[in-house]
Amino acid sequence: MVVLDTEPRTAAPPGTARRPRTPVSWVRGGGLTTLLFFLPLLLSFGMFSWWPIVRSLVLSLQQTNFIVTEWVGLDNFQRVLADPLLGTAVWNTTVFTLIALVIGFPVPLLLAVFVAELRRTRALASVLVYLPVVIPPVVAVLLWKTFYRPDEAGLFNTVLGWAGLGPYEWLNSGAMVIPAIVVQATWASFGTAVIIYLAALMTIRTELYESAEIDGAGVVRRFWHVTLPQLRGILLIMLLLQLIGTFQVFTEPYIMTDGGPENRSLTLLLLIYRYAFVSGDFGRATALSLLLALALGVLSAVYLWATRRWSTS
Amino acid sequence: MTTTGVRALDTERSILSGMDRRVPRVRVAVTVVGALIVLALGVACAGPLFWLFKAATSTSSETLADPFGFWPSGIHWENLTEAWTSVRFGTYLLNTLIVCAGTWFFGLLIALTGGYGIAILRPAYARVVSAAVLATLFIPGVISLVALYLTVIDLPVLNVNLLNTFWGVWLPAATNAFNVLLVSRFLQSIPPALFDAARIDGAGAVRIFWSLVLPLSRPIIGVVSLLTVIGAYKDFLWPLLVLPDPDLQPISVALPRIESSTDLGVFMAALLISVVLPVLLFLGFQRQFLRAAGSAGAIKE
Amino acid sequence: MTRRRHRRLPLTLAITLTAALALSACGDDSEPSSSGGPADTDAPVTISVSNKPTTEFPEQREAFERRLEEFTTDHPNITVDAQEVQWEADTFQAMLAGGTMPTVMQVPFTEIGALIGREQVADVTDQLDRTDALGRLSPTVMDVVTDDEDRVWGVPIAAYTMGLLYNRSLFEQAGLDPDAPPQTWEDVRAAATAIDAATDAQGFATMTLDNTGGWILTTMSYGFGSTLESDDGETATVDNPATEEVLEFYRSLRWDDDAMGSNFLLNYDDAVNAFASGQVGMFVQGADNYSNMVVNRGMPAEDFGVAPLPQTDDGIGTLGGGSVAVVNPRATPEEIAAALEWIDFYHFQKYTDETVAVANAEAAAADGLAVGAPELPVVDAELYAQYLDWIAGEVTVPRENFELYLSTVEELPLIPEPPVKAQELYATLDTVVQAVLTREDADIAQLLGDAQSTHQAAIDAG
Repeated sequence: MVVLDTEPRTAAPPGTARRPRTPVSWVRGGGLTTLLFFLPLLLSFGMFSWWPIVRSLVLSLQQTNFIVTEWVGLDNFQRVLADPLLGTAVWNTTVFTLIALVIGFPVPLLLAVFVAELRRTRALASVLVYLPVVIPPVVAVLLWKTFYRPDEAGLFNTVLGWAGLGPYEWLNSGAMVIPAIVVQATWASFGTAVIIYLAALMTIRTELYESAEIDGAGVVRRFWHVTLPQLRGILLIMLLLQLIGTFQVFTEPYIMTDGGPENRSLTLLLLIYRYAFVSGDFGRATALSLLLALALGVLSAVYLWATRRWSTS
Repeated sequence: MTTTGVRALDTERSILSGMDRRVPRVRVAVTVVGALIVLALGVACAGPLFWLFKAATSTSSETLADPFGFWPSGIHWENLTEAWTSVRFGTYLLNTLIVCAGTWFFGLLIALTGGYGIAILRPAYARVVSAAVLATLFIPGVISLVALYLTVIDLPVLNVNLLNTFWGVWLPAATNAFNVLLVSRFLQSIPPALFDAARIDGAGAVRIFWSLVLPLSRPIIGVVSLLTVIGAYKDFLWPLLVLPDPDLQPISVALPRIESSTDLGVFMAALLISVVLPVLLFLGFQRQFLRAAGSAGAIKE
Repeated sequence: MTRRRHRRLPLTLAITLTAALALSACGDDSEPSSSGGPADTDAPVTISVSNKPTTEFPEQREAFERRLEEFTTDHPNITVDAQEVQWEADTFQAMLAGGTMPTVMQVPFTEIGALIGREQVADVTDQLDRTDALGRLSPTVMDVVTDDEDRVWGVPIAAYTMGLLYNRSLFEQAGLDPDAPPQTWEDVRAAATAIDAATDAQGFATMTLDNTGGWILTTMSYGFGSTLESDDGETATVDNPATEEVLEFYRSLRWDDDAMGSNFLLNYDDAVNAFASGQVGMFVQGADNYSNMVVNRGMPAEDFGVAPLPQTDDGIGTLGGGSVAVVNPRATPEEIAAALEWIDFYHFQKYTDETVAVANAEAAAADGLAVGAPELPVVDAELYAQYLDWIAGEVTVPRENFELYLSTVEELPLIPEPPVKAQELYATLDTVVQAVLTREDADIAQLLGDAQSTHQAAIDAG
């Protein structure tokens, strides 16, 4: 790398050069060196990020068996929209997202607020909260799959059995399968949100609490009028990120149920996976990916637009 | 980036003030609630790991007959050795480490050189590149999953197939816009005067990178390293697609595959081995982990 | 038909095509590569072959390597690169897409129809008569790899019929006679409840995930008297009385007798392991599973029982399946020739050469592998009888335990898989089976009606 350092001692700061540009002066001015620094980024993003995005658009209009490829217009999109499983997958994914929101959003916030009040045990609480996050998701899912065993040997059925309840069917029950997966997914990820909220809570200026206190605000009102408004920026972003994340849920249903029973846990990403890697229908898979991405884009835009006042005021 | 700094305990306050805490009623309430929270977190977060340890060192029939029985026939360490030898767990663990190391190296390479270019060198095209990198952050990953796969099995221009090679995992995983963003943000926060001074002393772009930027970037290198290594250790779907050959699979791909053909006790032992490394790493570097998680949140804001 | 689709390929597309096209599309696209001229069979050639046994099965691996060495000695011009890859639903398309499919690949019968339709395997017709045994394959299995124009697209190397697997030891514990397995579905139900009551195991099991639920439902429908598609593959006949009876049978075993356990999200491995470890009394599965259960998964040999698939008065037979060795569509004529040499050597030499047959059997027996396990012969009856005669002294499998199965295997008609979109049909039926097993109030008639229209739509979509 050192041999590439051809910059003359008197090189002007980059970006301020105003001399006429020739290839030679460009190289002498450090332009080549600069470009070399950009090369890893340009190559990797070009090949593994930007090009696949362009390729998606192309693929969605094609059908291929990898020996021969042909253009099919919007046929892939039509076949996606005509698939009765699409409705199932959209519904399941929406239910999944909503349940994940109901339990996955307030719990970490409240926990973070409580943990922030702890003194001696705060470090311990932080470590405990983050422990599930460092476990590889596959391991967590497989572990919980054994917890959810539908016979008496299942961990949850054993505990509930002490209270004379169950045994429940958990993942085998069309009604319970999504909530059961959501609980597992929340367990595996809520630590991140708690730590992020904790970090944000520490940045709230103490004067705000003090003046609220002087105004006679109790604990609840301090939380409501100081803590929440101060966190709203991060809360809004976290909510959006959670929405986008849960819309792309895959590993949990793939490993725990493969979409069953009766497709009751078939999510959109699982459907994309089946199109592409089970049926070999890459065109249809890409078309559904694009539709999903578009929906997420619209969702984010609407969300940001609808909340812009609240987040900036 | 927001840093909390270290505030002395007595001046630090949150919703409750120091005064509140001196009220006995409040103090009792805080202590009780705090104890309950820690207890609940212990059961909910550490409990499953403890049970995993128990199940990994019990026989399958014991675990099935009484999931909460504490080692009725003693501790069965042989499950662990069995997992190591008969299901080739050593191979899978080694593959995982290879995946992590490569992703870490290329991830750092791309983020550091790219971040340096965007934040410090700033050629005319830097803004376009930076915008193009940023834009990928806002495009959901799902959009290009299939296309990325087809790209990796037949690279454009080169016509190389990365299926069943570690390159197929390393390079796409290392192409991470978030890392580039973290590094360039960090470098932008360094006073420009430092670099100007180096330039006046005659240091070129390479020297500045090597002897100024790299040493200064230690904290952000730590954060990016942690995020990439953990991310690579956890990844499932992508290695599943790119490494169909069992000999190359990391544990996250191998575990679901061997699940049903492996004895329950041995399988639990395999799960236990898979969590030992990240958990120990976390307990050893908890401050760095938590700071990385917190700063990731700050950037998102 | 998809086979003709690529004729409409527009020129503009050329720029987007990958190397795949450049390699394969030389000449007229309807011409299979093998008919491009006589192969030079002495030139050095390298082929790759799939299904090398993994290290988890050291004995099989050793046997494989031994045979490989013999082959290379016999054919010094052929280099064989043996790979551990096996057909898997999830990864096979990727293999085709990436061009990494080995020259010789084993695929299940279920896949071959679609592969022929998409021309994703090589036409081997012209080189098939090279060897003795390949010319004497059983007509039943040859149908599977032959298209309407009598072109042959692969070599069937193993075949089986679906049967009722049962655990002989559980039968004894439940006071049943293991030598008199159930022959009607009423008997199956009675045995299932008896086993469930008398032992820790569940009486009966069925798989439900990864299209296996539909596969077994189709098999049992044959035993109850109906196929699920018309013979020409144009009409779905999913909603038929026989299939309804099967589901009714599931329903009573599950909800009236509670003899099917508690987990109904089972894939192939889950179910097979549960059976091998003695947790399941009976289930419907390939009758060729002896080696899989006993050698690979440690089931005691004397526990393994197999019976013909029970038939009702209307029963039409049982489903057959197996493996086909196919050749990569991009293979040159030389590679195809070498591939067929290998297939003939590895899978068929034992039928034509007594020394090889006996030596193989002896070695397999010495390695603890199964010799003489029940299977459906892929060669004609005469060759197979001669083979059994040769190895009679080496048989390690308690064939007397399969008396009933072995005496009827030739009689029970073999019904092929549904001719069109079998995997899609199975996927649709998976959910039907899951519904009946997980919801007590599942409306069987309604489920079948829905599945019927879903599958008809899939057939009509082409």
